[in-house]
Amino acid sequence: MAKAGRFCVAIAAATWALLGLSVGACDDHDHEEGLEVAVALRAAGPSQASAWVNREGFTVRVTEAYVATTSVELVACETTAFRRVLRALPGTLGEPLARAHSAASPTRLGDPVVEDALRSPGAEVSYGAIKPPPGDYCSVRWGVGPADGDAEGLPAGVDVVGKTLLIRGTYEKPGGAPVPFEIASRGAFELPLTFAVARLGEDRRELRVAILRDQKAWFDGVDFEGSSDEARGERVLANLRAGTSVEVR
Amino acid sequence: MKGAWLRKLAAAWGLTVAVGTTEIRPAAACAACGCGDPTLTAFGTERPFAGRFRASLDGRYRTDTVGQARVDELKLTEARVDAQVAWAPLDRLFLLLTVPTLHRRVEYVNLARRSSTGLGDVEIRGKVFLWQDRDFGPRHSIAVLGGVKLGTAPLQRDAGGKLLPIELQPGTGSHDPLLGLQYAATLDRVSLFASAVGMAPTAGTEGFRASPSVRTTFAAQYSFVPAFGLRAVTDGRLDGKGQEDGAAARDSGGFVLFGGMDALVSPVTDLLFVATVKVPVVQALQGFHREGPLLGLAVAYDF
Repeated sequence: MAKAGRFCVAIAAATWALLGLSVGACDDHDHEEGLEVAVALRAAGPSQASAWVNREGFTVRVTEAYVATTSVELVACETTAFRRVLRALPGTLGEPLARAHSAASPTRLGDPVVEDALRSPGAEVSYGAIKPPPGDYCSVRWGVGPADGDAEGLPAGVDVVGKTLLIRGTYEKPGGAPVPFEIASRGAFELPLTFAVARLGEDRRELRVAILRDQKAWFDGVDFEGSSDEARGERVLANLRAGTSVEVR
Repeated sequence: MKGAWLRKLAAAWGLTVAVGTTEIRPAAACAACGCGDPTLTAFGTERPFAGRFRASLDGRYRTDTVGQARVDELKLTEARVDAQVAWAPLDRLFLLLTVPTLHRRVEYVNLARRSSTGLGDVEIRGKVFLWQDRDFGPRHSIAVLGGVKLGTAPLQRDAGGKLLPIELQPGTGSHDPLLGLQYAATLDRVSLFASAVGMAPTAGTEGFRASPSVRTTFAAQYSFVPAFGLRAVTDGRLDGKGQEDGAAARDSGGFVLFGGMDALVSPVTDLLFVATVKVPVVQALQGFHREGPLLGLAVAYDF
């Protein structure tokens, strides 16, 4: 090949190589946030400094109280009554009969968290963020159950593992002396909490959901002297369930 | 004259748009998907003369959907440009260097969108002609193809220095050997090509290992005039299971068959353009995985 030809070949080859490499040198990345539902847990009720007086007349002062949340699930609006019935039955519509620890999906957070129920009233604990597909959502399902050893927020020096609810303090009958007590429950439930339809999509990409626990009526119906430990635990757990609502923003 | 015309056809035959490869994570996007024999772009099918040098740019566009709808589905869009140089140090040996650049865009189930652009994994291939039916103007030839895809792509990170998800990485971080056989025939205005190449990926970024695969290509080209031809192509890919976090990836494995057409235009000597359209005609992919059509445009020049 003539000298001029070899020179042209070399220039052309270098041009090709530089063209390819220059395109590749445009190292870049971009990120656009998607739909996100922030979930928080909030309690309203007497703090450690105050006292409960239940319907039975007992004055209750609480020194420690812990609640274990196991899951929060965002539920799409059901379009038919048939699907609502199916969803109520375990094992249908793709719902597992048992949920494993940290069973998560785009609409469910499944990491267990133990809360200090006596923290400042109104203070929120962030439970996480759900990243759901677009759609209309009408409720969340709040799950509580026994905490395991991997739960976040396990208090130091207090054995909450295996318990859904742990409350310690003292109770007084009118005119009586303080008597220490401990109420523990290993019960579990998933409580549906409905709200006005929230449509998530390109036009609305964020939602904030707060699970609100009204703890003022926790000890209503609890006979500290006439009932068993198990019965007291069940009663408080039932009051916890009845006093929970949801706030959506 | 006829020999020169046939060589030109063969050179035109050497340009094709082959489907790109990228590695994916099941429920992520298929990183090693795509079909076809990419050596058609730079090697051609005829036996080269010693010292032959060819450079090409091969652009491809494809889409891919992996994962379960409304659960973990990812929608991938990928644009890829391969800068290729092929050189024949001997008349029976052709060497190919491919430097890819990829732009990948992924849409997640919650409408989050992420994209990345960067250099992909460099690939080196060699083609050795084993047999041809006659020394001068061969009509049939058989060649063996070998090579390796090197895990050279720079890892992509976000502004905080965290690695981007595997579906956004332009490479696999693995060194993957490949081996195959090719057959070519030139009969007047008709050219035939068949290829079967196997790839055995190794473990790469974050323990991900792409699916081992066998890719086949069958093509038939008709040249209306020396400057223009049409080529019908079928590309098949048979995948084994990929590995993710030590377990078989749900949305990996299976078989896909693409059918399509290439249009080849050579306006001047040694310069060739190829436009390609391929669509999946058979999808028997495992898990939740669907591949979309492929579009391509390539240009090559023989020095």
